[in-house]
Amino acid sequence: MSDEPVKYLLFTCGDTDYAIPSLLVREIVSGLPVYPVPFVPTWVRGLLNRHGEPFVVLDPEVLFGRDPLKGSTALLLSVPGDQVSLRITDVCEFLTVPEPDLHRISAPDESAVFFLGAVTSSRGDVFVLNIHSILERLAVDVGSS
Amino acid sequence: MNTKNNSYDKRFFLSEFFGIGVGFPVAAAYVLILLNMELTKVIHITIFSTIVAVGVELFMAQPTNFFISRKVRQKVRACEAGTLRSSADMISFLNDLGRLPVLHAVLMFFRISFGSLITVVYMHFSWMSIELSTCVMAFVLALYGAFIGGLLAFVSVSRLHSDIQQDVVSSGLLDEDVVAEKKFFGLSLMTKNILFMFVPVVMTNLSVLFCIYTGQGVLDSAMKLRITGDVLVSVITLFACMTFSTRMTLKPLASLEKSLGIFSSGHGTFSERLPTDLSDDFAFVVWLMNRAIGSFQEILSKLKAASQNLNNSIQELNVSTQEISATSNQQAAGVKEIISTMEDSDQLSKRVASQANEVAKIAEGTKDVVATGFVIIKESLEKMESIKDANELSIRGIRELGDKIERIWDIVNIINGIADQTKIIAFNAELEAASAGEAGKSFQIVATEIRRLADSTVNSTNEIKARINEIQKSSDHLILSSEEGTSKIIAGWELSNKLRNLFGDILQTSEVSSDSARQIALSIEQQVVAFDQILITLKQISSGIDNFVTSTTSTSRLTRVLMDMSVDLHQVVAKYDEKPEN
Repeated sequence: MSDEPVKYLLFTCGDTDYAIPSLLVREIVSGLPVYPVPFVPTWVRGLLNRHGEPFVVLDPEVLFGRDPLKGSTALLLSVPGDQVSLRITDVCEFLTVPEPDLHRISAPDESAVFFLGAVTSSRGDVFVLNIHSILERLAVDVGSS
Repeated sequence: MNTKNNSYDKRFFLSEFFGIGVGFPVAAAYVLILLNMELTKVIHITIFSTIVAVGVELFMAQPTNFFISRKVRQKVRACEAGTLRSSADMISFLNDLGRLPVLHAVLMFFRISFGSLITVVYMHFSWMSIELSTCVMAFVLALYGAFIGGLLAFVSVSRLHSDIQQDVVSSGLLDEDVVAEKKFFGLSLMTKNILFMFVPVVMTNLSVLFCIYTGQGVLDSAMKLRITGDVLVSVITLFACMTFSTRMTLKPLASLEKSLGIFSSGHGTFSERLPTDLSDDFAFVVWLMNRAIGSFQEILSKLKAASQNLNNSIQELNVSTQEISATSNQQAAGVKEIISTMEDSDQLSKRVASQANEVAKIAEGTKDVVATGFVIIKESLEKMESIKDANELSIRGIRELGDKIERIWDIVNIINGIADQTKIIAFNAELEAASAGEAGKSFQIVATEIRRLADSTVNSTNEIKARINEIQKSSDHLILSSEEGTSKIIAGWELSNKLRNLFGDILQTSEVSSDSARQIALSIEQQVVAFDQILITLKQISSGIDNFVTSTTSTSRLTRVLMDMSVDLHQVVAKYDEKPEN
């Protein structure tokens, strides 16, 4: 683990703050229509078209067992081999913290696998999403559906 | 009493002249006819006897008459004055009235006799020198004239007293028992018959005999004897006839007296009838008496029956009158109670009338107040209408304001959207700058500033949103309040409308009430007048009933008096036995 600071993008999903390494974020879009896709899990909201490229729109709230997010703001993720986006409520700020400040979290259920850990910001502890786990889950769920 | 006290003295005075004026000439004529005397002597004796008569009348008659009539004259005046009121006084007066004619006649006889005596004395001792025997005979003969004068004096005074005696008897003051015992106050019929018939005839016949036997006539003894016998037979026959005649007269008179005694006694029987043969006047009178008794018997019988019926009827009338009196008393009491109740009702009606008038006035006042209230309500309604319109206008204004706020909100949303997009662009720019590495650091700064500007814009828009929210909330609250106010105003307007309608109804009702109250007051006043009239009529009825009670009481009293009279009548007629003779 290195001491170089990592820049996270803080955003909200509903009332919960999350963070994601800003390098994983390609673009923040808003107001783009989402086209539902059948035979996909419920936390897959559909597809959106950005610059002619389809992006899968994932709803973390539904993934975590909460109500689907309203709004049309999404984070287009820069994941090699995948074109996914995360539906969010709003972006908050950038937070740069050293990597050691990312502390691990534990959860009684399987939801902990979707988080890299938590960082402390002015807004309190913020969970850092593990995009890779989410994509793995997506593959599992899409493959099984 | 129908007496003429002044004329009594005059008539009594004139009765003297009647007696002496006839008695003396009769005596003189009788003497001179029977005595053989010369004409000159006769004339002389006539003149002298006239002078003597005048002298006797003047100097003897008047004083004695005045004396003997003094008592009667006093009593005549007393009767005129009404001071003789007792039966004893009247009986005494009748006795005096009965005695005076006899006394007057006796005095007349003596005066004429006295005058004749003087004349005879003069005849003997004067120049005529008439023989004593002739003078004695003349005196004896003159006594007949004196007797006639006395009779005439008796008759004249009796006639004078007859009217007075009738008045005394009809006065009703005489004690019937005394009258029944004494029977009459004068001379009996027998005495009168003797004095008026027997004595004159006897005296004239004896006078003739006397003259014959004293040689005044030239008659022989046989003639004297025959004349004497004839005179005796005449006298005896006259006596017998008079006795027989008197008996014939007195017997029926006795029966009449007996029957009339029964009549006057007040009790007895009417079954007997007086025997009569209708042979003469007295028998016819007895027959008339029998008829009278029969009629009286019949009347008595009818009277008994009538008195019994009368008694029964009067008893029934008495009972009926008492019942009527009791009933009328009850009616009078009842009417008085009704009058008392009606007077109370009259007072109550007057109070009700007074109160009805007050109610009418109050109703009139209420009507005016209601009318004023109606006008005020109407004005209030108009004001509320204007308030409602103003309120609606305010609400429209507020709504328009809300619409404008909505448009501002849209603009703010647009600005906010722009700010969000700006912020996203800033974020994207920073992301690109971060991905650009070192080359993007300047751009990252710009992106950061842009992001900050976007945040500021967002903050401002948020603030604007907050303000707009506040304004909207206030506007909404105002609209709500206004709408609530509007609804309240509408409710109040509707209430006022209802109130106006209600007031209209109340006004109508109050007008009707006022009219009704006036009519009621008028009706009650009419009722009071009617009550007063009824009260007056009831009082008149009560007065009439009181008069009826009084008259009924009087009738009841009179009925009792009639009952007593009927009982007395019944007792009176019960004394007589009206059973006819079989």
